Amino acid sequence: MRRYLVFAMMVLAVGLSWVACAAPAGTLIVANTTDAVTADPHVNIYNYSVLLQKGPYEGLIMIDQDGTIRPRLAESWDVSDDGLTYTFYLQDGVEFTDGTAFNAEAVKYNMERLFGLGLHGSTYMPAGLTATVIDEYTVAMKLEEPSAPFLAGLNTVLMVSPAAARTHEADGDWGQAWLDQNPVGTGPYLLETWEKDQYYRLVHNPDYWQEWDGSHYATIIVQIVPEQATRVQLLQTGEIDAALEIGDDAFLTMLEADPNIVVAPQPTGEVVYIRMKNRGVLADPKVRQAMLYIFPYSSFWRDVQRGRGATVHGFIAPAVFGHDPMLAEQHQDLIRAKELLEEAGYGDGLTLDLWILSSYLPLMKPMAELFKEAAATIGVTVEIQDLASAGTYLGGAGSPDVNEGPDMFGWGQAPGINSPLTAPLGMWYTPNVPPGRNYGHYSNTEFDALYVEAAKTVDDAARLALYSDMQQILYSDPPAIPIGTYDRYICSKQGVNGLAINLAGIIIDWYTVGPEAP
Amino acid sequence: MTDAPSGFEPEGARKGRWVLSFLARRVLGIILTLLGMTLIAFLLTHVVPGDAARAAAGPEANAETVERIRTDMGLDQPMMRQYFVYMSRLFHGDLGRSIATRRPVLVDVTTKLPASVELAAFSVLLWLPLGFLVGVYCAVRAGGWSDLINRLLSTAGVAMPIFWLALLIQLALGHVFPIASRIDVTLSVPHYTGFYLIDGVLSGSATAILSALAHLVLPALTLSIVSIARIGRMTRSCVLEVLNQDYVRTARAKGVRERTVIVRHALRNALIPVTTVVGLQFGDLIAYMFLVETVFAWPGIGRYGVNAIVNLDYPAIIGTVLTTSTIYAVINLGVDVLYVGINPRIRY
Amino acid sequence: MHSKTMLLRAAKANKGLMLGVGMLAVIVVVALFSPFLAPYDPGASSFSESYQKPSATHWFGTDNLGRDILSRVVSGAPIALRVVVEVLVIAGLIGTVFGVLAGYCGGFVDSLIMRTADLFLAFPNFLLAMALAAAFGASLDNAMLAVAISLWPRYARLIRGQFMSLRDESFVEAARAVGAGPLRVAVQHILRNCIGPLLIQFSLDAAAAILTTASLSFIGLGASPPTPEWGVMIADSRVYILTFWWMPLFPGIAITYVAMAFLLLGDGFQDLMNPMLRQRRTVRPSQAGWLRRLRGLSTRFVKE
Repeated sequence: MRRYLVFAMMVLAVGLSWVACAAPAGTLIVANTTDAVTADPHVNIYNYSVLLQKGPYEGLIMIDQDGTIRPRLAESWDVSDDGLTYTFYLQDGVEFTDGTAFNAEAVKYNMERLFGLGLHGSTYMPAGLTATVIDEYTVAMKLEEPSAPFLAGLNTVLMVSPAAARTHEADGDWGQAWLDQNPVGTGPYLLETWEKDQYYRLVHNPDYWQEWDGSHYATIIVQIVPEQATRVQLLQTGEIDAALEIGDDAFLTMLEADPNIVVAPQPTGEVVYIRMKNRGVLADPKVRQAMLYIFPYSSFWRDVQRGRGATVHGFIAPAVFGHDPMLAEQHQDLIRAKELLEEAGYGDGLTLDLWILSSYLPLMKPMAELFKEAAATIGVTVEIQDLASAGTYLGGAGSPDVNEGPDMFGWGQAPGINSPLTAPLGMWYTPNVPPGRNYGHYSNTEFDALYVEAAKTVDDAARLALYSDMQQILYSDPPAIPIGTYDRYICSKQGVNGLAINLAGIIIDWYTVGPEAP
Repeated sequence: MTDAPSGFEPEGARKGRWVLSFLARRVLGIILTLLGMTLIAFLLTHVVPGDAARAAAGPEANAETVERIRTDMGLDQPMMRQYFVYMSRLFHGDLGRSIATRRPVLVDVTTKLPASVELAAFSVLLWLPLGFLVGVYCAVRAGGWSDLINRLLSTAGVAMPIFWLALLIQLALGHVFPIASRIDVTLSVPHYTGFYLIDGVLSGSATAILSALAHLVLPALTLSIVSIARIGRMTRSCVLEVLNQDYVRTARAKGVRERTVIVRHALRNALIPVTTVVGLQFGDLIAYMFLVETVFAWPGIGRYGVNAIVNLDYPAIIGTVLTTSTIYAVINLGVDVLYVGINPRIRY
Repeated sequence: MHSKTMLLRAAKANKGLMLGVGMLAVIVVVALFSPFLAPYDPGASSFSESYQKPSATHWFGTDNLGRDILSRVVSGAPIALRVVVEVLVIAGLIGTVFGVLAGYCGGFVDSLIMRTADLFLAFPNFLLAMALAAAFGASLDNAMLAVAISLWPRYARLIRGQFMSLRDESFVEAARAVGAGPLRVAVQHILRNCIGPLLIQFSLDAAAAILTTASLSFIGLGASPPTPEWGVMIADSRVYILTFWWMPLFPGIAITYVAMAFLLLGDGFQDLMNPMLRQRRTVRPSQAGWLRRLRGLSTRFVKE
């Protein structure tokens, strides 16, 4: 009799603990450099803003760290044979936090709002996209031309409650002013508090349509700590559980040696460039080719960055689709550079100015200094200006007048999705001159032709070949010096699982982050 | 009513009238100065190269969006027009919207100001009395070796770049006290006043009070060291000058105890120039706040101002300039009133 | 003349002043001979030597690009002195011109200039410098200009004040009576009397100039890499304060040293100018043989 009692108690204990595990538990404190600009996912989708937005919002699909596209609010989808129509079959029974239903009408409204606002949020959506309601939970999206990266781009579109946007509309702003601070979505976390420039607190949404079984955090706090050294210190003292944007080798080595801390490398699609403007001396492709031979690539990544990064083959990062390891790796060849300059008629030397924004990317400083030093040895004088203001920087670098602004400027570019078309290749497509992303006013008709074709090609292998061809063109007529890719890490305490970012530095999902191994 | 010759009117009434007209004149002066400041701030921010509409839209925005934002922000209007629009909005209390935070500048400023004021007030409580005492001590011991050492120390304290001192303090005490933020993020303190110490008391949370105090220590220490050094130096020279006056020598000759001499005669009279010095120090304090807040990631108006200037956030820049200048002007006014109040030599 | 030798003796007796002069002399020597004093080329990067602790080969250690920090700090000395000289010259010139104008013309011109000066003074100093530097664009020269502009009102005030108080002095009237032109009166008589207060103001402002320029560079509104300006060096290495502490430490010490030299100088001048303090230290009855010495005694005929 007693044995059965003990057994019953054990079952009860297991049952109770299972119930306890089913509820999200614990608090996760993450430190980041910059605060989110807005909670409105159709306005600004830079990684620091999406970090907040991915709490209360989600999209039709989700992309894993390895690039696999997974269903989220869309259960499944079809693509028509001509590649122009995508039909999404939505999850039913999902509600926004204001009680209204998530359905095909909501998706249609969201696409309209996205294009209506016409801001950063619509970057990865092809122009001319229209959404039609087929039935309550089926929506069709029609493209003007087939686009291979479209589905991946949908990852950047998060679903906002139409009712909330309409109710709080003011002066035709699509509810932007209110949604800026007050997110209403279907997502796993609610924005409970947002102290600008200090922290924001996300608490789990008890009514979230994906149940809370398994390992999840009950509360997530993102603390804004601009100083890298401070983030490291907070992690070491245990005041925070995870820190983003730690890139300095000394800190990483220190943290790697700490048994309580995990330093997890993340994929990176960001390539650092020194971009050039198509004017004056730099209008000659030979001069631009010479520039690529000046920079001391391997010593920069090996000695200055201590191996936390690498030179790149071609112009696209290894983690991004389109990267071709068969293309030549960038390397320094000062003799060749000098030859090219002499051929171009600049054997006596020339002067160029280089702008950098080290507040955005600290490694631009040593990068610029090394470039200047190497260039000086072959008679090229480089004047460096480290701007304090992003506004002035963008104004000068991205001026519609090619003769304004600096000759060269530092830039870090990652594609927001796993396709090089919008970025970096879109930076060199002639029609994209400012206010588009072709800041250098680069123009190459062959490249343009291939670009147009690649945008329409759905077959992966064919597209890859096109991307390789495009990069070959870029070698002979370079728009920029591809310095290389730098490693990205997430440093966290032991026991924090699932915290991951994609190749654009954007967090994958808060829902999959939990306090112990699942 | 006939004009009474100066000797016949009661002293107090005359002084009172004078103080009132003095105040009125000064307030008018402040208003005019602020008007002039808005002009200067406006000119400065619009003379700068760089496209604010582009910065606001972000590098990914398309042409139409940038132009739309330009029209919304009124940047396509001629300068004079923009200024008038800005001024009229200002009189309605609308300081515009910050490009970086996308909130009304007024909201930004009012939320960040308490952070700076709390830090400033907390450190003032430290350095004002300490600085004064240090200065008096040095004056009294003037000429000796301890005076020289103290003078060297305080000179070093003033000579140190405060942002560097902040870094050193982080290095030295970073493992004992928190080096960022105002309070532990896991605590939620209801915001009654925006001053976390007061809010902690009001909500009765001892942990909140302790956490807020702990976070104040390092930045306040940085501010205090430099301020004590500066106030100490100036107090010393003021008190020294007083100690060399004839009436002090007379008192000593009369046989009055040294202590009474110092406290009753010297200090009382030294308070006058010291008040001016303290007033000047507040001006420096504002400069210190910009730098210290940046190093300690303190979410106050100083850091907001630095970010605004660095990002060419025009509305935020003007808002910060106006706020800090107004505060500075008001403090100077207060110091002047105090000065007038305690200085018997000013003739009315 | 008696007063000059007394002055010199008083100066030598003032420990602080002598120390300041000595410190300044060291800096001037270092600045003048910096290319010879620097053991390595301040701009030469050597990756294999990066992040090294201070040692026998590199007294101040090396930075992230392997550059010798001692050499960079030494190369920053001429820049620092340049900053001081340029800022003071610009501020002094603007201030003097306006001060003389205000003092000489009086009336409306005086009011206008003084109101403008007050407007500038109404801004917290650093805020004004920051805003100006941002407006001009980030560079060392612009930062210096910004700092100079934030300092000119003090000089204008000082010069004008002297003008006001000395304008009606008898020696000025005497000079005019003899036929001296207004410019000569201004320069020879009045400005000469300003030297004392001007020296004090210059010294104190020299320290302020260095500190403010370094602060502007720290925020990113001043010098750019790879200039070995001390403020920029601290800004660059700020992230390393916990790991490679020597990188931000030594430039900061250099700034403190130079600022301190000027402050001691200024304090010393102040002590010298203050007759009370001077009297306390320099009167030696035995040597002078006088019971009482009176300084600054002058006679005036006051018009009724």
